[in-house]
Amino acid sequence: MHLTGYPDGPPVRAGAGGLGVAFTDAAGAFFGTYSILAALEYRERTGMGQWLDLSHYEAGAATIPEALLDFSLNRYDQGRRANRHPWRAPQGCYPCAGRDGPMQDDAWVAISVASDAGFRALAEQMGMPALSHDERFATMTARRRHHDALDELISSWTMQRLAVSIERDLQAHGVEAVAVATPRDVWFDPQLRHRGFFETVLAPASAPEIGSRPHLRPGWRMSSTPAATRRLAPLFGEHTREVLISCLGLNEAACDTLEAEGVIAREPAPGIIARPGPMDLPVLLRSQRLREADPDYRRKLAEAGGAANHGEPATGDAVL
Amino acid sequence: MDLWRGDGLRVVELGSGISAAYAARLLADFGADVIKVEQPATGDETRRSGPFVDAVPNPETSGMFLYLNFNKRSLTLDVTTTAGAELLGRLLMGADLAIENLGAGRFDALPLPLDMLPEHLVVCSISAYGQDGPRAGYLASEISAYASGGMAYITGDCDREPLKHGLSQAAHLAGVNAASASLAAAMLARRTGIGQRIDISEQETIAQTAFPALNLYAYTGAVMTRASAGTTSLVSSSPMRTADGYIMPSYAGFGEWEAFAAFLEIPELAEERFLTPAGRLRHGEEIDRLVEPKFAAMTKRELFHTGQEWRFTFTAVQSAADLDACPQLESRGFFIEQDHPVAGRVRMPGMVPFASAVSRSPVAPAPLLGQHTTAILAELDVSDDDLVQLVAVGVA
Repeated sequence: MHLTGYPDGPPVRAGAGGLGVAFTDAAGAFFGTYSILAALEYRERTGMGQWLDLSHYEAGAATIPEALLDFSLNRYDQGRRANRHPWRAPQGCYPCAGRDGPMQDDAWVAISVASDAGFRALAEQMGMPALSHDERFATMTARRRHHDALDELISSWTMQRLAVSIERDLQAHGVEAVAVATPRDVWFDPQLRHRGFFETVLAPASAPEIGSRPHLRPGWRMSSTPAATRRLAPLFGEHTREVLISCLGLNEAACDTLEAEGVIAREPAPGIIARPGPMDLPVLLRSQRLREADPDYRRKLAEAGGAANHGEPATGDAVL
Repeated sequence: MDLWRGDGLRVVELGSGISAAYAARLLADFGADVIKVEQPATGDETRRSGPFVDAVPNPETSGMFLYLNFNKRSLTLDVTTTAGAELLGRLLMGADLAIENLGAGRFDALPLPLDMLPEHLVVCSISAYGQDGPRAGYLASEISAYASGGMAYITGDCDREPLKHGLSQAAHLAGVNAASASLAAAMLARRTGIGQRIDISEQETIAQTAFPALNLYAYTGAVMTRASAGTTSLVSSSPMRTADGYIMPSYAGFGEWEAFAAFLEIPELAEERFLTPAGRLRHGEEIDRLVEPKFAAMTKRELFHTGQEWRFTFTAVQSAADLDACPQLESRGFFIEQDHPVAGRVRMPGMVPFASAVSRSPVAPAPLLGQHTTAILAELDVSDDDLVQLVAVGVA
């Protein structure tokens, strides 16, 4: 977290404008999956199991080796540099013409230039070809030094245009650019939809009010064993008896006894599940912790995905 | 000498940079035999990107290269040439797995007779947006993964530009996912004799990490954004300033609020209006005003340790220097030392999980550019004369 943020500001946590996004939760799970599979593969070869001890702390530290090495090799302690890059310039997120909704001024495009040729192409698209001869911007080193001035010029150009058209025009001329997607945009992203990154899952019969919802697929696509949701998250204790009876050989009477003794339960204790008020959407909107909610989101998601899948819940066959 | 060593997975790594190299390194950590194919003359791009030993650029002393490539062998081969691709095909005949980040569609475009590839081979491709789709041919780097994956939009302040996360975390995490999928497919192929193709996208990798924000929309319609200027610190678990840096108060992990008031010796915090979570949210600014001077008077380490004694989930926000000196990491052997013939003794992170059957330290340092070319090509029945010729025309 020390490395993410503006150079003149505090460290930044993702999603601080909402409920927060614990980035290392996902990263830790990725490393956990790898570690388990590696140990299973090791067991297939050697017949030996082993003990794995994975810490979130170390998994997080493993994603920032450049900084650890810079300190280890040069005693240089890197800080926050927003979107800047040591050998790409210009690089940043630039403001664009508005989008729909209450956050209409909050539209951005990410641009990154890795070579002088790339900068020439950008300058031409901006209608300012002379910039690539300007001594402030002619080389990577010069652009790094005059990055602020360059950002102002780029912003004055991007502000007149939609992010998607900047993306399309720059990419067509060999410049890295992509619109900054909001969490809503991600669900309607043509690239992700083309790749079938989303699937629709249906709520269980016991909670039909949840309806069908889109879910993300795993971060890998496998040609002959594609991943899909085969089961929804279980209801509280849904499989307790099934496991005790089929895996441990208990009978119903023994389960009844365990339930009477409070060792197993069918329902959560009263008051355990509900979170306190501040997590409620209206409270978050009133307090400006969240500033935009889309009342029509279910219709939009359904339309984007065509008909929701029917029949067996959680087949996971339908793709948005 | 046999071409493939030991009984681990036999892996051929193609491409350049972080993602494929990290995926293959993670497999090598558990005993895979990795042959890294590098472009002749220039080698992997991390050989040129540093940070370098003593900040002096040298293709053999780039810290990132040494870190991403220990436990591997280096073969220089231009696989885009017909002669190079033919040798790659022979190498893949005996391999379990190829991991590549050549760019979308580039592996299939190699002058390689694809029908010559063995049926059991698993090919794992890593790219910015995946191998197909409207953006497959786009130029992209780290910032694009954060921008397109929904993460940049929710990182930073709402009156300033969205932010990527520091350094190259998207490329590293795509590498972790590639390692997982490759292991699963290779184990399946060992059983069935049939491999498959794996397609990893950095955009999807980052979208996965943004899942709380994405699910918030899918389940409520709310769009998470960046923090507004008025966002309070403590009750929204934002970093708070201490005497020497920042502390991360994970407010949701706090137990009794009254205990927190007692810990900081601020009796006002125990007043009625602060006692419920809703009340604390409403009076967040007031809480910050009360808490900030106390935090500012203590060091982040002091707050971390005393807070933890009171069972508050405080964490010090740590820089690389802090991590380097961390006794917890030291006691677990997180950092290892690699003795390299050119770079000397270099300290760096070792393998990620502690695994009881595998040493966290590397068996072999990162290879010199083309260190194993002669030996590997000899195993592929390339004669000395042919090797001289391949080198002369820049293929090896």
